[in-house]
Amino acid sequence: MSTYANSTTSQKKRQLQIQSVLKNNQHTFVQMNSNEFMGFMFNVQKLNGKSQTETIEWVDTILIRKQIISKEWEQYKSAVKTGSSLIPLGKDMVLLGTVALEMKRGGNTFSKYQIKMYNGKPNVIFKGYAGLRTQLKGTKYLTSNPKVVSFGIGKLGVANTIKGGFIMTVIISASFHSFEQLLNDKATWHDFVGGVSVDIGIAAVASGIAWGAVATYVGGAAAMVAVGPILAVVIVGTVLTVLTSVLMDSDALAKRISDGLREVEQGIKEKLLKIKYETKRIERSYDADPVGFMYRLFGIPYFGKRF
Amino acid sequence: MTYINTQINRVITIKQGVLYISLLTLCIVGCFYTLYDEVGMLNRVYEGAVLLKVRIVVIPLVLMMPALGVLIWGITCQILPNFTVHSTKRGVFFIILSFPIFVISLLIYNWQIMSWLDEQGYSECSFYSGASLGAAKIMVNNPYLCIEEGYQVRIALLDWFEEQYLQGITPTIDMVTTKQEQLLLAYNERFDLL
Repeated sequence: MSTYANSTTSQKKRQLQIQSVLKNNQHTFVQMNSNEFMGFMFNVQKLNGKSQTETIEWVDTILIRKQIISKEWEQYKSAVKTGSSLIPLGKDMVLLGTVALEMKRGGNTFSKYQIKMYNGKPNVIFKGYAGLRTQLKGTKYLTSNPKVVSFGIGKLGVANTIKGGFIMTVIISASFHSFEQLLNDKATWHDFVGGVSVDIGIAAVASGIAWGAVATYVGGAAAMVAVGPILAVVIVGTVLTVLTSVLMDSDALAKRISDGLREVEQGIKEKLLKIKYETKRIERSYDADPVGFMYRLFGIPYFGKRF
Repeated sequence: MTYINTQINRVITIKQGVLYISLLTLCIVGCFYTLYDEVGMLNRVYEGAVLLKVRIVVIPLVLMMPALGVLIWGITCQILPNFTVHSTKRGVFFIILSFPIFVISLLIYNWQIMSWLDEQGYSECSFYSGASLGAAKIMVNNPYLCIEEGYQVRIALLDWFEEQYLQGITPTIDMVTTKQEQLLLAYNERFDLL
């Protein structure tokens, strides 16, 4: 074969190779604006047998799942719930900080106090330099002294701290359920009352156990680190609240209460309707025959016109 | 640091002490029972269960049980009484130390478990969960199973899901929708909401 023929053949081969490579790497680029893209997507879903409503739901689900759009309240509900349950803990921590600061002023953050009986009454005696402190300036206080109680020192102080935490939990629970009712169309006042009742119940049970356990554990100590009781109350109280809420199926219980309230409401409505009907009937009876009505009212035999 | 190793007079009655010891013991037993339940629930992921009731706080809460144990021990010592300030201080210190561990483990566990469930294809369904502080997180492996109208009948619907799981039936979207509609109709009829 001549050189010319060889080069022609190889050229043809090369052309075929190029053609094949181009053919295999052919892509169609379609430029669409957002409206055209949505239209295209809807058509593809339609061809797959989905109705328009189903396609809209499908798009919503994807967007929610990818967090491009969100039902913010529903999305953050559990996070808010967890966060808000820690607010009473924060309040107690602030109190703890105040006590620690006060003790530090007196010379030592972990200063001890002693409980001694004078004239048959228990007194708290603080160690350290009383004059340097700003709140607890004395060296000796009655355990029932409001200042001592407000600092969570002694048995009464522990009880006061627990009470404060309980009230705070009730306020938070009520606020949380109010938001739920405002933002969730399906929630009604029954759910609000049911939910708050359960939360109050849990807080009461947990606070009661924490109060008793901590007071018996630290309240009876003759000498104790002043910040100790508050920390113990904060921690045990929080743990027991969390534990009680986990042990009880609180949601089922709240739903049962709210359904019970709905039943009571329905019963009242039905009774009111019955009363309204009866009143109307009596009114009609009176209008038709006033004299006969008065006779019947007092149970006197009457032989006149009957309603 | 010198400790005041004072012997303390008993300030509580035996009855009182026994009551709190029993309550705290019950709490510990309850916690371990819930832990067993929770592990069982998480194992359902491997079985491809369509719905899970997750309580993220249970596993980290176990770390706080020794603290309750210390409290029981402290109260027991109060009853005996062989209680010293030094031992009280050590007990309180132990309770204090276990709390940050609990909080840190809760944060890490929450992040890990939610990521793992997300990887397994589960997403949270807030319509099946109420607003109570202790309500469990409901996770579904198909977003279509999370029906907004199911909120009012969520407890009955969750019971139905549990029944289906126990019978070995995997509910389809149609089955769930039909059941939800039935329950909602019955609910509306019961409370005269139609």
